[in-house]
Amino acid sequence: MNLTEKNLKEKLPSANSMQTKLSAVMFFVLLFVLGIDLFIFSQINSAVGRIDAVFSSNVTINDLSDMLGRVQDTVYEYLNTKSSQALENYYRYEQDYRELLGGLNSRNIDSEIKILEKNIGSMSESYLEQTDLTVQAKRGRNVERYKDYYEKSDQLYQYINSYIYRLNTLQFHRNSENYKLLLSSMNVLEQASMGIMVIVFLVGIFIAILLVRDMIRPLMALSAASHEVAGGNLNIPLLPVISGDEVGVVTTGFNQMLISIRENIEKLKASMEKESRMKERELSMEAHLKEAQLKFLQAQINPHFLFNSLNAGAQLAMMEDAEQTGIFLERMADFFRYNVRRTGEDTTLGEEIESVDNYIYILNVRFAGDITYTKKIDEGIENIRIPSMILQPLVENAVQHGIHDCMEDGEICLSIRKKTDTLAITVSDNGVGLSPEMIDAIMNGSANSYSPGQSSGILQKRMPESTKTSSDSSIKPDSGQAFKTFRSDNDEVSQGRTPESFGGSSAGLRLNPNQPAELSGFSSSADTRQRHQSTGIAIRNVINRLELYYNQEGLLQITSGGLGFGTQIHITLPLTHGEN
Amino acid sequence: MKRSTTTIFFILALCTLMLSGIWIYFQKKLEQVDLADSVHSTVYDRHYVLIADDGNSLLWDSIYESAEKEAAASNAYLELIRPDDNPEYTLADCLRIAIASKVDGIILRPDGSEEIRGLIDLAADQNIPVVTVLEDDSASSRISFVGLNSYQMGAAYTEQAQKLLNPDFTEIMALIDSNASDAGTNLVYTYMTRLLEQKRKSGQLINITAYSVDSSSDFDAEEVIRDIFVNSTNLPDILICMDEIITECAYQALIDYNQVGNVDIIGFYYSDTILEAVRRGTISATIALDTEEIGRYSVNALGEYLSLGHTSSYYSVGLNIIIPDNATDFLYPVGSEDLNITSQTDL
Repeated sequence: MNLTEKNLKEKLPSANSMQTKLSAVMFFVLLFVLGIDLFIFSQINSAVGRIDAVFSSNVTINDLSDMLGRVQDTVYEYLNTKSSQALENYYRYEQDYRELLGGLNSRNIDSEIKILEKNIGSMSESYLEQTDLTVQAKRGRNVERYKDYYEKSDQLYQYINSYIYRLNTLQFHRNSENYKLLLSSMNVLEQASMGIMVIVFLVGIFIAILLVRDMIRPLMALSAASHEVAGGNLNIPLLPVISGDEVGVVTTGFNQMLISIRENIEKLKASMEKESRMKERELSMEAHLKEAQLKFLQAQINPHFLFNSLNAGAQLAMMEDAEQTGIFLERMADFFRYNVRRTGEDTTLGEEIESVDNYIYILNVRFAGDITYTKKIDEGIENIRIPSMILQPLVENAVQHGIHDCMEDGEICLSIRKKTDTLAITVSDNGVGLSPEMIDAIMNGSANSYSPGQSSGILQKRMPESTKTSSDSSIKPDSGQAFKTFRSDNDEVSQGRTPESFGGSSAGLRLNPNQPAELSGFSSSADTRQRHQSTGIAIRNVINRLELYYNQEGLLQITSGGLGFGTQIHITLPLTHGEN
Repeated sequence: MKRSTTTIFFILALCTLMLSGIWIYFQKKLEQVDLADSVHSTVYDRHYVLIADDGNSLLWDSIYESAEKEAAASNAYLELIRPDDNPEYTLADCLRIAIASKVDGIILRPDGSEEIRGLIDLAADQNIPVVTVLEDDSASSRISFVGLNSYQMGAAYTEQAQKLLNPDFTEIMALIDSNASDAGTNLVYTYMTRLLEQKRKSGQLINITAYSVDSSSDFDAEEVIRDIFVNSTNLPDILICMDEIITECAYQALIDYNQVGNVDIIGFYYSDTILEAVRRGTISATIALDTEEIGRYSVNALGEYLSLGHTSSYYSVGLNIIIPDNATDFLYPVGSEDLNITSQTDL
């Protein structure tokens, strides 16, 4: 919690925080209210000061009147009793009265009140002169004079009193006016202050509403966006960051969170897709394998029988000194053993080449050495591992569909070149060739749409029967088609031919000059039928296996100079995968 | 937010403006509070007193107005003491107060009594110069008299009465304020009688009688004059009033008793009522002293005496005879300065 607060403080400048904003607003509103209060108080204080000043004059005049009365009373008392106490009081009161007179105006001021004060002061002096004379006359026992003086002083006393009374009245009137004035001013001040306070109050509320609204609005937007995100909708626009306060920080964090979630989801999607593809591929491979294994298991009984028979034939030929026949049968056995054994596994390039050699040997025996087969192979490539049954089907395809109809002129060339990081394999023939449409059809896997008998149909049927047992899923082992036909041919060979009839060179083997094609097992009527019934998936099968093995597309390419100009099948294999 | 900020600042500025307005208003109001201090008042060198013996008279107001103006011009404050200030006080009391107040000068209309004369002398003893106005007391120690002499007044009344004389017999009654029945007033009556006798045409008979009206106490004058109209079987043809209040009372009685046209009134001084009556012709004429000159000359006399130690003992002032032709000028004066100039009659 403390860490979070610390982080927030680091991210958020203190000037932008909500606390600062709210505090600032409250501070300024209260400051303004305080200023208004101080202003009102100062005005009221000023008014009260004025009122004090106004009424203090009345107080002074009343004191003056009281003191004058005391002086007069003590004079009378002294004249009456001649007591020293009265005399003492007289002098004291006279002194006090003179002091009070000092507070009165003595100048000729253009004011009725001030002139009255001056007159009171002057009359009081005259009065005190008379009282002094009276007291002195009393002390001198001059009865006539002190009575006369007392009479005059009493008259002045009456005048002064009347003037004091008049002054008081005047001041009362004036103070009443002043009081009314001040009262009206105070009322105005009160009302105006109330008005301003109300305005300030409203302004304060207005500011607070604005501030809270500005704070709440992004929060509401954030809340709505959170609801959307909580509901699973991540495709909402990013929230605008309006303020730099805590809400702004939260909004920025929310936006970043949203972006992160989106990125993670994208990554997850990609990862899942990749995994799905991998699983699919794995399943596909497994399916291919299982199917192939099934076919193998179903088919291996007869091939084993065939191998053993062929070996027995070979031994028989050896015992009968039919060496050619023995070699032929041995290579036949090797060829089929390789096909059966290597199904579903990878193998070395050397074994693949050997298989092709066996196949060509067999064909040459069969077609009396008509096929011209050349190899251009770089050294040191024998141990490179490649998927099994890649080269032989292609060579067989070249024989069956490329040069089948011109076997005596047919040439097949197998070229294997090792480059820096690739291995270039080319199987070329000088047979009937392919048009670009045919090539596209083969590569797209739609070659089966071509009808038999057409040139394209021929090409589609470039599926050698020898591979049907291991790779062509459309052929049922017990349907009596490819393999069955082959076996019957084989049986036919083993039954219908003597080992001696297998004479001739390896380049031009011919089992029976009379019916070489029909009895060879590689070019029987069933073979012809099979070629026409083949779905043409052989090349696609090779392509698929290559792609599955190398996890790479475009490894196999077909080129042709056109119809009648031969066909070249190029395979480019990455060396890093298949080396060793 | 920007607009809101502008609004808030505008409101706050308005509040500040209002506060400033309140402050200015309040300060002005406080300044209006009369503390009778010397800060906002004029301080003068001298202090004169004008004792008006007749509180109801506009005459004294007029005199005071001009005298105050003149006093202010000569740096003196003129205080007006009216009997109204204390109804129990007489002219003598007012004078005593003025003396006891040790003023720099006193202006008054003496009543010819010994007491007043003695007080004027007392004032003179205390170096307080006294100027008499309207009436003179030459026997006192007054420094100067400002006004008309009795002969001039008598001549003015005579001139107006002469215009109203019947071809055969004319009964004239002079209403004299007994409160001011000093020698001066008597002299006016005497001169008027004499001059009328001299100026009457042959065959014209004139009977002049004097009737003293006591206006010392309130409402007496009015009652006395009504008595004349009620009791007298033979009303006079001409009523000569020698006082402002008496003139107004006589005018009112004339209307109330439906004697307009039967009795002509020659009044003294003027008020709005009198001027209106003159304008209508109800009052034939009214004799008015130039009060502006009275006030001005009396203050000048005091100033001159205090400055130089002496002054002229007599200042003659102008006389206004207001008749229906010029009554409007007095009723609705264009300017106070030329009020008396238009109607001043050189006697």
